[in-house]
Amino acid sequence: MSGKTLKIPIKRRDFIRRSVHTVVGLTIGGIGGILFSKSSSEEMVWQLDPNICIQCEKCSVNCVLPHSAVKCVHSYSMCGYCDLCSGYLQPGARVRDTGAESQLCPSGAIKRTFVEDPYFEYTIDEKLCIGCGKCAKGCNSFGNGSLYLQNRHDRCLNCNQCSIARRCPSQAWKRVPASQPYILKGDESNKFLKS
Amino acid sequence: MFSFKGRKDRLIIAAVISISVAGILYFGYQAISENSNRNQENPFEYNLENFKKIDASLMHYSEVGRIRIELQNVYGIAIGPDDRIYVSGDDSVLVFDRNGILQSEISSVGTARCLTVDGNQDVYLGMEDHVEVYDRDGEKKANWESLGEEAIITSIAVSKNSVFVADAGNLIVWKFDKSGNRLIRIGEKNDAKDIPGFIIPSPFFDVAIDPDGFLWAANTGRHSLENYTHDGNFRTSWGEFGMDMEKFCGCCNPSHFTILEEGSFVTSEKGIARVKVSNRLGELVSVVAGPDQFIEGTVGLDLAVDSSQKIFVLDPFQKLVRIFEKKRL
Repeated sequence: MSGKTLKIPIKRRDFIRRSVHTVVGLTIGGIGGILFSKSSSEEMVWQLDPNICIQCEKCSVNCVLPHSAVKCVHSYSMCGYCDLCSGYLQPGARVRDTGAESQLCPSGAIKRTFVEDPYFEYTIDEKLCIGCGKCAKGCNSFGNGSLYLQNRHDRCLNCNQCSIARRCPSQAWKRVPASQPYILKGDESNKFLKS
Repeated sequence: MFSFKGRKDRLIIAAVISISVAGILYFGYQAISENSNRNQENPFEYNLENFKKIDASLMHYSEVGRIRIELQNVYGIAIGPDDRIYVSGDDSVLVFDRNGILQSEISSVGTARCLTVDGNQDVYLGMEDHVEVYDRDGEKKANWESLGEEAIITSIAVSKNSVFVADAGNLIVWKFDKSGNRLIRIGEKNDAKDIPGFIIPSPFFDVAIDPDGFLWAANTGRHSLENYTHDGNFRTSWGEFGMDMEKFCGCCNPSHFTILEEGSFVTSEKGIARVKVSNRLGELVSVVAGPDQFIEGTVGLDLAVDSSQKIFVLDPFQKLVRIFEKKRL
């Protein structure tokens, strides 16, 4: 035995095989890492901050959906249940009734129900609501803002580049965690509401 | 068969074509310019512009001064018997002399949303659920009992012997003696006594004492000012809903009011921010300030009157006390 170690030259075929294994390994590891990091960071969704919204009506026409994902929401804990609801009645309405000529909503999406003298409850029919925010504007102008707009996540496609957010003049749209997808007013803000 | 061979015929044809081209150009231009100038109606627009117009003949007041309030939030204004001006805001009350020079500051624990000053220059502060009393030097004299968890104190009025506290949470006016003893509840719905009951949809519920010593309270949900005796008996009321200048607009107005020495009422409204004077019968007499004089969305225009009948309007959006005086004719 001479004690010399033989240095066996690596074959070209082995070199290529090892290189391919390394590249495949790195690729799988990288993709796994990316997927892991994505799954561990929280998903974000679009929402409209009602405290910044100016009820400009653009949400109703700028959504990519045929019927906007933005709908009116009502905070019952804030509502004054007024007979003379400025979110329901036209500013110059002659009478306080349910006549179409008295109603502010262009699609008749707000229902007025008598509770007790002189209080009325107002509920939103989401199928009819077009998200124009006219009622929210009226409620904010004279009342306490219990009617306001929210992006409904049972409809929203959560586009990367929200076409409403892009055109929002007050920059009221923001990304919020999917686990808390709504920005609510009143007592409802303390409760978790998920579509 | 027609033939256009002569010079005359060619001239006629050229004239007809020229007139036709000129007509097309003229009427086409008219049509285009007419369409471009036409304002397309926006069916979603919430338009209040028509209701903001003011009859110039009613503008009997002009703004004669302003006091800037160096506080983050301002809520209430009162004027003492010596015409000192008191403004409540962030955990304090600023006291100005009649020239608008800051004289002193009363520190409070918590924010007074309303205040008033009696003939002895004692200052009554309406904290959220209780009243605190300070002397003219800013020393605390008394801390009255809480009116309960539901209480939202929005206004205080003092007479010679009594203190009236408007509570928007409990929908009543509390009557106290000056030692802070709670006496009676005023304004609860009572059909036998013809008391309609207060409807207060938002936390604006003002009270004041008239020159005859009677209590007035703003029943904002009914768009009226109601008059009560000190025993809580309903006397009369005036006011009705309407967007017109002589009426009270929105869901709940007037948000604030005060009374001039001859018994006329100065009222302020939210929604369409405007300050008006109505006589004892509730008939519109003057417009003090119109919507154009306030930032859009301004609410909470508290009012006070000094001994010379100048009207002081607290503008919380601009953090100003704005002073209006009747124009000399």
